[in-house]
Amino acid sequence: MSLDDLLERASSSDFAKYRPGPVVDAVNALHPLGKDGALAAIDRFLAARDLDADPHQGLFLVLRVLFEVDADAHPPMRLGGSMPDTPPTPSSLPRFPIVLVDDLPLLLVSGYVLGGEPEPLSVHLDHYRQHGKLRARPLAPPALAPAARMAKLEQLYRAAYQRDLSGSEREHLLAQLASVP
Amino acid sequence: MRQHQQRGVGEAGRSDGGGAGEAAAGKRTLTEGMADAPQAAAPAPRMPTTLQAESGGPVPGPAAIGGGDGDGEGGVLGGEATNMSTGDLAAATWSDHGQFKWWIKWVTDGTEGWIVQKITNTYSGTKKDGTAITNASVGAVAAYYEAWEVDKAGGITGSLGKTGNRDRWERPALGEGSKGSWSMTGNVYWTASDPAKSGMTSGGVKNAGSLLSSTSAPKDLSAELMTRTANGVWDSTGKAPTHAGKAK
Repeated sequence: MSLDDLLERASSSDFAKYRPGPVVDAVNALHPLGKDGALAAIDRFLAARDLDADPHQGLFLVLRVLFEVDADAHPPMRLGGSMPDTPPTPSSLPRFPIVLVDDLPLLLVSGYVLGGEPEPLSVHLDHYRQHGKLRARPLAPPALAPAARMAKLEQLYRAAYQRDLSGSEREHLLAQLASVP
Repeated sequence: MRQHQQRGVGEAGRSDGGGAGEAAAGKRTLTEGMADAPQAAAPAPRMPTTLQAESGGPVPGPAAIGGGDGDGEGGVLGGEATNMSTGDLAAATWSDHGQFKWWIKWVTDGTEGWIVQKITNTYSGTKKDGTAITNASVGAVAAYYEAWEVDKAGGITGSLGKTGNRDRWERPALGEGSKGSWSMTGNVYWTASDPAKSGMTSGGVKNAGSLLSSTSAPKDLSAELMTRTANGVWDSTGKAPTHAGKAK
């Protein structure tokens, strides 16, 4: 599969159907290009697409997995209101709405409530260009039973929100875990 | 995912302040016709009113000036919007589990000012686990204001120039086993006063994305120019999920 094919697979804005595999593949295909090469590849990919028709919001998630930042948390994704919301202490889930559990990027949010206009990808691309550092290694999620990963996620979630996952949040995450071989 | 392509009774296309017409189910709506038609030219920007002070008296500020016709020479002021309508960028669609999407662009004769929309949200229902669906539970703010800037030539942007002439109304899917209802109302105004000076900030309200937004009304709003509404009732508890509503 070409890099563009991998970016296309990972770029879906339909977060209700998010699966971590395409994001892992896209991040690992971009990583060998280095910081500038990865950002240039994403720029080229987006330049060939009509972002007004399809904003390719999945690439927000690719960026916050591919890069590290010095700040407490990655820049907020201004796509609307969400449940759960950004944690009260952003550093508790610095890649929110993504949570990395043993190198597997899991998405907490299944969709956004929007009455307005989401921020464009270009804002985050500029941010990572100025402040981002490429992750040290490609992603290598080990083979783990879904229950084991879920237990780790629940611990992180409880620490961030002082409550347990809701039923619908748990279902959304279990579907993601079930998709991982 | 199934999409219930019911665009609702009523126009989701050009709906001006005079109220939208009704389209019977199965008939071609204005929105569908617009999707095939060439893009209509935006109305020509109105020439701003030229002011000349008399006998050294004070010149009224922009907020007090209505639109008018002039030759554009001399003192240049913005043209207050007298007409506001929308055109679909993506027709309203109601999908499974309460999911909804409707994207529009603004069409106005105003120049050098701001389109301000007050959004009012409602949500009720239950999720599969029996928990209540409310505005707060889905991350919806009950009411807020958001703004788009209109420049001298009538060009419309949002988010301090970072986004284009678009307003996107979206509701997320709330899962199998959920059911409930939702509504959105957009009351649309004009102002010649910079909403940022009233405290509106980019991303001020999360539901507005990165638009200038606030839960407080900015100053100097005109009379309401148009009202937009969308609503839906969904039931994902049975064998076949349903979701239907109206948007105009």
